[in-house]
Amino acid sequence: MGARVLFRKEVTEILKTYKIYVIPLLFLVFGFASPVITKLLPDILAGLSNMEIVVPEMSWIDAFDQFFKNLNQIGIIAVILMFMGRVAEEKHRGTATMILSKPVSRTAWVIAKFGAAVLLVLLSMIPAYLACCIYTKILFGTASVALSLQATSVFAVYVIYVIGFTVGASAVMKTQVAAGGVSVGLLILSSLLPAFSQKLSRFCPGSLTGYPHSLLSGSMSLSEAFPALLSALVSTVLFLSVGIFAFERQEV
Amino acid sequence: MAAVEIDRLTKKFGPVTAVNELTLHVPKGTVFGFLGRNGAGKTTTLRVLLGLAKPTAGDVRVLGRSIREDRSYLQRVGFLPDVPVFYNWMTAREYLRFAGELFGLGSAKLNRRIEELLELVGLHKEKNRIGGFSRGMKQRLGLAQALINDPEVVFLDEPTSALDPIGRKEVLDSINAFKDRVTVFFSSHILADVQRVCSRVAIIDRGELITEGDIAELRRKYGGRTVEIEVTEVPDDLVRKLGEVHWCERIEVRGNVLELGASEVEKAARGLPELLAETRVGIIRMESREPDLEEIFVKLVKPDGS
Repeated sequence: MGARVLFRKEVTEILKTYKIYVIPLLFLVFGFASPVITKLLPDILAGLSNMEIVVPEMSWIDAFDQFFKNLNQIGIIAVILMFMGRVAEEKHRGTATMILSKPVSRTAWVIAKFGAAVLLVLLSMIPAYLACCIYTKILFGTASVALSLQATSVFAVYVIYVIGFTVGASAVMKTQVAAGGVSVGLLILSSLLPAFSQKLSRFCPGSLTGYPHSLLSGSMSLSEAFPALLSALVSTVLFLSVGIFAFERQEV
Repeated sequence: MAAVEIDRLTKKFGPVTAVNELTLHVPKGTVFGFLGRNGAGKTTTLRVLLGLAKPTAGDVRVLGRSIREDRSYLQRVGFLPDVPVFYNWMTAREYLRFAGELFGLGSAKLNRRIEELLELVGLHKEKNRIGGFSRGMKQRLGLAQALINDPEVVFLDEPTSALDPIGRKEVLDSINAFKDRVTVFFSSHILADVQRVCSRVAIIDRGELITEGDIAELRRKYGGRTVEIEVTEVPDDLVRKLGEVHWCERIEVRGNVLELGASEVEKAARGLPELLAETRVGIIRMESREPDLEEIFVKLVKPDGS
């Protein structure tokens, strides 16, 4: 009960607190800065040393590669830091006691938090992508909208997967630090798993971080990404289910 | 039907038994004081009643519904925890609206209810965010949110324990203002507050029920009477003789004032003037009164380590 009310509260909280600034601004900076850094990289490297450094000519693909690298490193860590306390912090502070003593479903509460987090991050990716697209076109003269959109969509699913295990961990753990630790552990595990088996890697959500480059360079088609995309979405549901299952049994 | 029926409730945390076979019945329409020292098991009992903790054994029914079976009774109850914590970015009105919407209250009814409650707790002029509220203001807002759904039972956990005298008075005044319309389960260790608002009490210690009943009934049952006499002098002989009579169970001397705990009032009324005459002590003033809740509580609750 109250899923809509809880979701609205989560969205309002994002809008009324610092949360509305961090992820959107960070992603937007990546959108603007990635093409610029890529364009200036040969000049920067040349200026750093008297030795002659041969840098291959940068293309629009490199600009988008840089954008996804930034999102995958700093962006993903920021997402974990932002959402690791969504449930755990409320349990720790005592706001959960105030809410859960009312006729509120714990499942609805966790899903509302997940939904609001996904909404914020996906909406943050739109201006960031547009900024990257426009700057790449200006600086490199060309950019494939179709391929870059495919790459961004694949990365968006990966971000949803990260939010899924972060919110799930937050529901299981009692403090946000513990939830953050578990989330970072899962992130590392996700990135290591594809390396264990070539065959299984196409089903690993962690593989999605390498797919944007392959899609941009044309070395893979979107349909080849489907197993990992499906696996990421199923894993998201599983992580959330585990979080809800544990949370339903917790005393707050 | 009782508003709250607790039948042999036990709650354990590992090897620690927080509540042990507690049985209580809270009649509808009462203001029920739930008394005990810090750590006696009051908050644990409340958390079980509200579905925030699971009972180890026993049955609990709130408004006729077993809390193990479904949570629908939460629609008809309100709760104020000992330290209410809010979303600091909200205003009092926004929080009450959020709380009301969680109960599924419609907009027009909710708007009226919010204004009524803010008026009741004296926060109707408050426009600032909750983050800037004092402890007392948060407690009063907590009281308002506990009443937002017009509950049939409201659970208050130590609503005054952390407040200054003004804050305490404000909260108690608010409780007095609504107590005729709702069953109140008032958990506290501040006996004066309980005495001021409650009609019936239960005393628990170390998770076990010590006694339960109307305050007047408990006074008769456990208290006897307290006799206070102001005399011209207090000779040792008088104190010694008072110590020997069986109806006098407590003697306290403060200057020329004697305070006696009289277990049998009639015998004290006859024996005391005789003793004073024997020891040739003049009486300036003499009065007797019923014991207050604190005296009953101290008498019943064992000190730590005993």
